[in-house]
This record gives sequence, C-alpha cells and structure tokens, in this order.
Amino acid sequence: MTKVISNNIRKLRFEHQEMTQQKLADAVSVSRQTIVAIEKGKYSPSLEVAFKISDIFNKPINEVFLYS
Amino acid sequence: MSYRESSIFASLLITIGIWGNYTWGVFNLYQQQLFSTETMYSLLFTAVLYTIFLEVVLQIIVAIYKHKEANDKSDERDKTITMRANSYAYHILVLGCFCVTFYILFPVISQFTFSMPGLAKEYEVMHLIIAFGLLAEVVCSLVKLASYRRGY
Repeated sequence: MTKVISNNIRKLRFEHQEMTQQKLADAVSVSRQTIVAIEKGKYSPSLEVAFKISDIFNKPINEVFLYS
Repeated sequence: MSYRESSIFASLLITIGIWGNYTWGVFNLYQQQLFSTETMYSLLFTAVLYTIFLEVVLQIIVAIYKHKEANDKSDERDKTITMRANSYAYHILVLGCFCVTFYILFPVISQFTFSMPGLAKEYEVMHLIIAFGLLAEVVCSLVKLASYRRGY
C-alpha cells in the first residue's frame, strides 16, 4: 500500500483562534495559495517550511504532518 | 485565479494572439503574392511593438486588479513550478536547435517541410527559430498554468 503525506493544518488553524490562511502564510513567508495547496495535500512543503509551520502551532512536526 | 495565474494567462493570450496574427498575416500575403522582405519587416516590427505595449498594459491591469498579491515575493512552490515549466521549454528549444541545424545542413529537407518562397534562407531560419521559441514559451506558460491549477 502506498503511503501518502497528509496534514492537520486546517484543524490546527481553527484550534489557534481560527488563524486565517493568510496569517499563517505571512508567518512562514509563503503565499496563501501555497498554504491552500499544502492543506489540500496537493503540495508537500520543504522541510524548512514544514518546521516553521510546526513551530507556529507549537507541535512536533509528526503531529502536523502525517506519513501514513 | 491568483495574481500569478492571471499574469501568466495574460502573457499567453498576448503571445498566441499577436504571433497568431503575424502567422495569419504572412499566410495572407503569400496568398495574394505580396510577400517580400519589406512586408515581413513591417509585420515583424508591428508584432514586437504590440507585444511590448500589450504586455505592459495588461500586466499593469492585472497588478491593479490583484493588488494584494502583486507585491508578494515568489515562494518555494512558485520556484518549483517555474523550474518544471522551464525544463519542458528547454527540451523544446533543444529540439528546435537540432531541427534548425538539420535544416541548414541539409537544404533538401526544405522541399518537403518548411519553405518560404521569396525569402532569403536566413529569414527562413529566423522564422524557424521564432516558431520554436514561441512554442517553448507557450508550453512553458501552459505547464505553469496547469501546475498552479493542480496545486503543484
């Protein structure tokens, strides 16, 4: 069975005072379209961006991004 | 549609519209037997000037319409998409180089493929190079648009 990368960014945004995609995008220095693509699982970000996103939510990277 | 998609789409429309019009103009002049180096220069300069003018005007309009995203720096996804599109365009340009080289080395090919009576050989080669350059540009834009639509 093929493993795929998924993520909990949408859920985590809502848990963090309903953070907007634009606010998250500004915090990690990417465009809002990139956050949309990451949330939908259409684009896998670089390690740097993945770590930045995890850092913003104060979660370890494996709780934000799942490989299953 | 995001700013980048709109900008690429505008450039694609300009490229297809103006150079399609140039091709149509050359074709019509051939049919009327009015084609010469002078008429070709006239069509070519008109196409180049219109391309520059429309590119500037349309990019300004897109930037005004999508002003919130217009100043955003390109991020890693933009760079990856650009690299992928450029790689496709590069292959087409390499193919173009081979075709033009063969065209020059073996003039007999022109009898069966591409020939523009009334024009010097150099202008035929120039048109081949322009055609491959435009094809590469169109493919580059289409790959970018498809990648942005698909997400990556």
